[in-house]
Amino acid sequence: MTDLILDKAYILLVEDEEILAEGIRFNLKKNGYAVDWVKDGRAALEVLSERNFDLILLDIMIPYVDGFEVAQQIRESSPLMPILMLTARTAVQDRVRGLEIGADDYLTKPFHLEELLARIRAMLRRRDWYRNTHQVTNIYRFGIHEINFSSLTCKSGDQKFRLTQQEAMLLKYLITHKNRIVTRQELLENVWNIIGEVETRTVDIFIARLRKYFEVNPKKPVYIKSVRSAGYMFSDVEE
Amino acid sequence: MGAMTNRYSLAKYIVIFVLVQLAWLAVMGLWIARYVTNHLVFKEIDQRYAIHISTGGEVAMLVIGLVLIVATLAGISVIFRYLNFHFRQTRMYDNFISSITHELKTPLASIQLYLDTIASYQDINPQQTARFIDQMRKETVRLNKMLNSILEIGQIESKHAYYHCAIYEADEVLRSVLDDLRAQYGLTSKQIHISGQISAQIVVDRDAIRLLFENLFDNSQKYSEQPVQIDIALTETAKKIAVTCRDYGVGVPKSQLKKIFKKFHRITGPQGPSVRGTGLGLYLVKGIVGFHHGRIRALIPDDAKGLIFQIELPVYQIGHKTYLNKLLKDR
Repeated sequence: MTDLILDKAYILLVEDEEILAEGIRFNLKKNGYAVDWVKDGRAALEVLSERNFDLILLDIMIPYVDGFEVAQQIRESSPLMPILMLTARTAVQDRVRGLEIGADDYLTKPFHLEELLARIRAMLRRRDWYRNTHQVTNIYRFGIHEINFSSLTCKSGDQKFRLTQQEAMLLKYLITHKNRIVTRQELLENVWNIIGEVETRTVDIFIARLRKYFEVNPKKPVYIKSVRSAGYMFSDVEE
Repeated sequence: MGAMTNRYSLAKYIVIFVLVQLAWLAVMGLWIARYVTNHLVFKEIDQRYAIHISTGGEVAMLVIGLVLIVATLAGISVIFRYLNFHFRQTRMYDNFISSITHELKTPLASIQLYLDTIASYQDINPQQTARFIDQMRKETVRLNKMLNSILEIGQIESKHAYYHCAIYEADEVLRSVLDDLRAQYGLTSKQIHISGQISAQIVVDRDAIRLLFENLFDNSQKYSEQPVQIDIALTETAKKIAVTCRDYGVGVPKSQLKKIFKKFHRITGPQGPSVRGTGLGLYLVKGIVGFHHGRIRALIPDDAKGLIFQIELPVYQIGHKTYLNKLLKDR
């Protein structure tokens, strides 16, 4: 049904609604994924400490430890793990918060089966693409920053931190196309692998995340500039 | 909803309001200070030149000033409380909207998913399809229950409840309602343990009483970490019957005992075993008990495990209790 690499992907489903979880599990298995299912945040963290997953499907409103907290803890321990958030909340600030914390994408309930599967496929493909293209050490420097795209580690002066895979891919794309305006649509298609009508808010939040790391004043960016009504532009020459 | 922005603008107004009041108080203070110094000056002149300048008026002014300050402070605190109340109400309403969205969208998501599933594959066997349809049915029941309880709240609040009250043998009607629910939730008679007996009659609407216990059972189930266990004791006095329901779930902190019956109120803090709920259930329960001229209380058990609900309903006695007769006439 899907490409070979994805066949063995191991997905962790964190969902407290049993009926919905059963439906999701059925479909994931039907599409060749292996699935583990837990019903609350506490159990999710436990399972995550025991083994690795290729992707996490994470509901936000779950008992004991909520989805935001789970995502945050995952980000601290394994920045590479793709997180797809599921939420019944529609408030923009909830979605924004999920992405800010470190989710790679989100889906609001109710959703279409095709969309869920497409998102999962896209996320896994991105991860595989990243793994395959970053075997060789790959270091980029600008300003006081030094980014190692293989290990996702960054040095900014004395500070050391790690990027998530999604952040690294976005930065990489901007750097590869530096001094050129990159539209949000282009970023969604090439970095997120999403084609069609998707809210461009996701891109903006990730840009904000990058600016927080690399700009002295994120409100007055030097490297990652906004180009009004067009998109973004990276340039490593400080003016 | 834009509730978030509302909240911030409300905070802004409160700050402005407080500043204005402070300015107003400062002006009053200055005014009084002036009269006090004037008073002293007059006194000094009095002493020095032994001329008598009337100071009676000045004292009166001082007293009036003080009274005004006290009145203003009282006014400020009243208005402040009022604003605070609304502030909290708005926040509760926000929470309600967010939880009702969750409660309505989740079953919808399941139904959508199962429909898509059935439509997407050719190789699903009939048993699986039957299972999916069954799951969808459960979710429609849940949706229906949700919507009904919202409508019920409207009925209770409008005081035009459409309940059909009748005289029942208390023991009979309570046990039959509880048995119904036991079957509905698929629980054993050990899990819903009924003790005691009542010989009196009560005037109730059977459906309303059922809805009342359904909400209590729902809560017990949601907030139990182990399989649910509910002990029910039936007792009576000359004028009242009492139903005491106890569960062994996570319970409620003492500070929350009275608040849990408030509309939209939900206990926040460390998350419990369930995130479901709208903050309407116990409000509805209290409304139903109130409609029947009864009383409900929440208590913490002696061993602090779980929660007790004590419901009292008036006993029907021929010739007495005109309000119960009124319930019977109200159609």
